[in-house]
Amino acid sequence: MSPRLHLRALRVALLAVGLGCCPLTYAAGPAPLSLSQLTRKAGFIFAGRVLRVERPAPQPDRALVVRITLRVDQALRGVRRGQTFTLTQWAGAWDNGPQYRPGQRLLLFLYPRSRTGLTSVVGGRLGQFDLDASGNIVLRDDQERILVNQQDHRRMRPLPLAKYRYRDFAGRIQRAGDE
Amino acid sequence: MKIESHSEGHFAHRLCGIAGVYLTVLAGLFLCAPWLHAGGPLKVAGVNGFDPGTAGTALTWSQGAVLYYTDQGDLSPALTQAEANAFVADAFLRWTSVSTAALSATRAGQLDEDVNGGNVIFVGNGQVNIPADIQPGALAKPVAIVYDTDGKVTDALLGQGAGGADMCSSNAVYGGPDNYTADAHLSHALVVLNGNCAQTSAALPDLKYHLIRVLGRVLGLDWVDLNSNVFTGQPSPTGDDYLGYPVMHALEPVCAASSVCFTAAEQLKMDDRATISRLYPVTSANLANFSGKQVFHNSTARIHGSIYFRGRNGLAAQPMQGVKVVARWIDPGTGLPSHRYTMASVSGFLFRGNAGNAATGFSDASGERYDKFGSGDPGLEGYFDLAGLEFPDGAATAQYQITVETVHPLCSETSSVGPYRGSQVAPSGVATPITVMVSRGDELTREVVMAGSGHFQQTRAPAASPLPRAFPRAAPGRARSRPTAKLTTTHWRRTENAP
Repeated sequence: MSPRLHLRALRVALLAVGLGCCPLTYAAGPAPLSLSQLTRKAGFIFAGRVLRVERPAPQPDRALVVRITLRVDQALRGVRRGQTFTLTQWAGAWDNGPQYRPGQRLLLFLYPRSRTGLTSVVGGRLGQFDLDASGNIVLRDDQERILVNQQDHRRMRPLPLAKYRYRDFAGRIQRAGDE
Repeated sequence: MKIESHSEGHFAHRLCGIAGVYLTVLAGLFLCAPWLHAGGPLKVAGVNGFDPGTAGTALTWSQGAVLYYTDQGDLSPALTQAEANAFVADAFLRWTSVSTAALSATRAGQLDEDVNGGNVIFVGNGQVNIPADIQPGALAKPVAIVYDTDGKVTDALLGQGAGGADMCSSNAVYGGPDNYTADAHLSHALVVLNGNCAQTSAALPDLKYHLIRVLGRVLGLDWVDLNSNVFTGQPSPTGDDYLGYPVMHALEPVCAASSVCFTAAEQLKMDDRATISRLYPVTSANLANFSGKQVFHNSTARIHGSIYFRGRNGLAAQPMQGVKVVARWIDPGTGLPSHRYTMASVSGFLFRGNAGNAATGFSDASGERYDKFGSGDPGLEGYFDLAGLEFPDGAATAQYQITVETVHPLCSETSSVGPYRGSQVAPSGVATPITVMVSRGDELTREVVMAGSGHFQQTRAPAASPLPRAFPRAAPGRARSRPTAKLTTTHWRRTENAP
């Protein structure tokens, strides 16, 4: 028997193993978030700068919250450019989730406010993007791998170090919302 | 045509036959492989907000006794209240059953209500009302477990739509400790299980994996960074990388279902077992309360010490904080460092991270003082502790390779490991891996001076910077030790020690 035949047979076997495992994997749990999903879930999408962070004094029978005030520099959904936006977060989401500091520039995907008025970043830290001093989007490895596919790479012409021009990334977000 | 068809059919038949043989071999390998199944403390008492003399103490549950209270409602059609209680008990058991951990978790009763969207409500003026017995101050019910049947509690707390089934990759289980006592103990924690992530029995393994991780936080464990190539894919992970990937890893594997991404994902690894045992060690004094368990320090080995910058005179100078000290068992069969039995400790894990300064202030943006958590004792600034080294093959002795590495730059902010939250630092200078032979009960001290390190010059803390410090992307590849029995030299870039 030829080595090539063995090689092809091994490929078939590996494929069979792969196919056998993958449905199990994907049937059993939640799919990781995509940029489309992140966009669909968000009630607010904007780039802005953190102005202040406040932790109101605890009140009896009240959930502890943290209030983050941001200035909207670029509005994509649910806000207007130049607007001051107050992000009121449950303190548990602050303690175990993304934290901000005054002066920080971010692009945020936030859930629509619930009936309690609280909101948080969609997908934990996946929905929070850093902006550099020029306003470019800086993607972390995890965001790049999960949220940006190869087609996006070509279309958005990434800058060095996984940076994307704001307008390219905003365009991708708008397309993702339509998908 | 007929002949060709016969030929193709014959070829396909042979191909399938050979493939079947390979398939059998692969299945055999898969089934017969020996599937066996560092972190540190989540919070450390600081000099502000805790009793004098407690600074540098890891926050734990007093006496290692955790009392938890569960919701009165069902979790989902797949997990009724009683089934959900058993589910939670099993998740706790993963931690309490560690043979060297003096830890117990007892379901002490129910919460006063079925926590649901009807009692987590907006009451006006930016105020949100939640049941009194799940609040941080409800110390009579130290750990509250909420069954969020329809995701409405999650919606209310995190935002509209956060509790949906499509958000289970991030919101299946969340929570953690939310109160502490002045004598450096954890005093309250809240855990919320999202019922929309428990709709079918197929979803439960993933939910369990997330629950075990959150309970690890509740018990006081920090995230850990080991075998991060399982997450990044670079270099391509081996079987041992998966088998040594700690449950408490800062980075959740990206796949459809975390717990079935790879075998034994939800089973505690050596680093998990060691970390929980360091926080709650079985000692000769408490052994009687934990029948069947073993004294931690007698049944494992410990290597501890400090990492230092090299002074101008060539001797140890300022301690170096925030670098990862890794122990990897040397497999006697191969003579190579194992990525299955591995453990890490971040230097200065008991020391405060960013203490602030006159220019940046001494409190974070939310008003919490930087020195609330972490000791100010310079003797702890470069300290690491690798207690809990196991003897995987049951031998009387074991060899471990000790290396100094970079904490993966992705392990920051919500996934931070060690004392630095905002961003990680790279070690300065050169660390030569060392191999150490240990026996059960051994306690060895190793002081590591980083040869060629930059002369210790205090610079700004990462958190003081208005923007996150960019981290060189090549760091993880360089920091990773090579699987060789020979002692190798690892080169480190110049960096700074944050105050």
